[in-house]
Amino acid sequence: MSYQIPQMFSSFQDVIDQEQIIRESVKSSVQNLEQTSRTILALIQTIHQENGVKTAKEVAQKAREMFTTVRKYYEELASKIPSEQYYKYHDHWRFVTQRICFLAAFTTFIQDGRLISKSEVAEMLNVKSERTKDSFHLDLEDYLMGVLQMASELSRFAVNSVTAGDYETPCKISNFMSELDGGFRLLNLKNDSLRKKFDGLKYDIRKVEEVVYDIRIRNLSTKK
Amino acid sequence: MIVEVVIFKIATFLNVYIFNINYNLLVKHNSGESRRRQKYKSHKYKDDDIPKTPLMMSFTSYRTDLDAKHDKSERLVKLSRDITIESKRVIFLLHRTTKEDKSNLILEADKKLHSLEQSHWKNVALELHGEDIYLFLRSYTQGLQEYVEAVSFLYYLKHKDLVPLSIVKDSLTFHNVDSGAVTTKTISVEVPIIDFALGLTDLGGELMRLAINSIGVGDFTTPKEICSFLRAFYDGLMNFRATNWQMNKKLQVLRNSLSKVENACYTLKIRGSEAPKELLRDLVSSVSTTTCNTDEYDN
Repeated sequence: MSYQIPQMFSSFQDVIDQEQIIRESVKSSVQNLEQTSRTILALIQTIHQENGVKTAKEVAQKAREMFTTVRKYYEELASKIPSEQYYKYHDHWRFVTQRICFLAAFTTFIQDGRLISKSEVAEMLNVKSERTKDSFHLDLEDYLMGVLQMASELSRFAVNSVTAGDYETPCKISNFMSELDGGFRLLNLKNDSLRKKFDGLKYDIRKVEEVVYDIRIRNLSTKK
Repeated sequence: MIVEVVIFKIATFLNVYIFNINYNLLVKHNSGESRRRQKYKSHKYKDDDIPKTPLMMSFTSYRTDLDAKHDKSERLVKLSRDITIESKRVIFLLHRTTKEDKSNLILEADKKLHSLEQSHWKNVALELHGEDIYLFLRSYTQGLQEYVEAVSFLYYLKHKDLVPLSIVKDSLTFHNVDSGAVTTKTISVEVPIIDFALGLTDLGGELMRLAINSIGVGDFTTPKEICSFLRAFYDGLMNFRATNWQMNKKLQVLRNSLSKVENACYTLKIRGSEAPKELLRDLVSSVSTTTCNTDEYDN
């Protein structure tokens, strides 16, 4: 008795092999993105050094300029994804996108003292902002994860600003973070990784508030 | 001068005091938060209460997007669960074919599956219309796999072969749909190959049961047929290099089912001539359970 089984599985195999080729090519683009994001991250880290705090704005400007490379790689990546299959391969670039969102949000805060919106990040990365069936877009949860990563970096920055003798920035950060917390409280989060990350936000806020408290109690801040 | 200093000290003290209260409130607020959130999960904030800063405005729109996505996947999970239950019923129904009239049961199973397609699957297709299905695949893959198992079992009973993907795809394609929200010529539920193959692999367990049960009623040809079919099926899957962890687990289960059927066939050959038919079933099942580990067979 002969079955359809061998023909069937060999036709499946063709599809799977095609997918594998796409995956490999996606991986190489993602590696480029990771490399660039590490370079930007290394640059941003210099902000925490004592003289870095004073030149924070220039560093942020430099970081922003490096996003041209990021744009290029996202364009390359987007061209590799077949239409309507964004989420099939999403896992490959999920983490690097989160990190890049964090970098974008952090530089924007340093420069303008405000939260970058999702559409602005999408603009910076040269991808679409809205989730549609057939476009390479910025996933909302990736953006929010990036924003939360920024919050923990900011709490560190608040501490280091004080060390460098800057008493204004921690107060700004504190106000900003409590507004951010209010924003996140509007969301109905599920019991997922985003929720876990958000649960960590309160510790970042506490850290910044402790810093502000130390400044205020010693009356170090010139602003009243 | 002294008065000024004293006032300042009091002010600082109060500041610290208030700060600590706020701080404690913040900590408490957070620790009790999860319970409250559970309780008021469906609670919608009144948008008038939210300060109209750009940050809060954008988070309000993020909330809308997140809720829409979560709600949709929740609805799909529910549909998928119902599909799983109904598919399991069809499978149980088909297991009665060893004892009752086969053609009637097959007709009934056909009818059940058809109504499942027209109700639940059509709703799934409507939910997925215009979406990237891979975003929601995790929500409905369980139902899909169980459905594929039922369809392939029915197909095997009819044709003694593996159901082609195209047949499943056709059953999940709907024409001239008019549901108020969506009016379109054709909508369909996408069936990814991996999920289809995962559903098929479960067929092994069902066929193993069918083989053992057939012996019980004195049918000795079915086990042999099933045995050669399962062998071909297992070979096909072994060459299929799309392994993920789910697939590996299911392949192990399939392997166990296959060796149970092989052992049953062996027992039939050796003991078939000497033992009465009524005894054979017990014999076969005792042999097959001792020779392979049944614990790994779940479901």
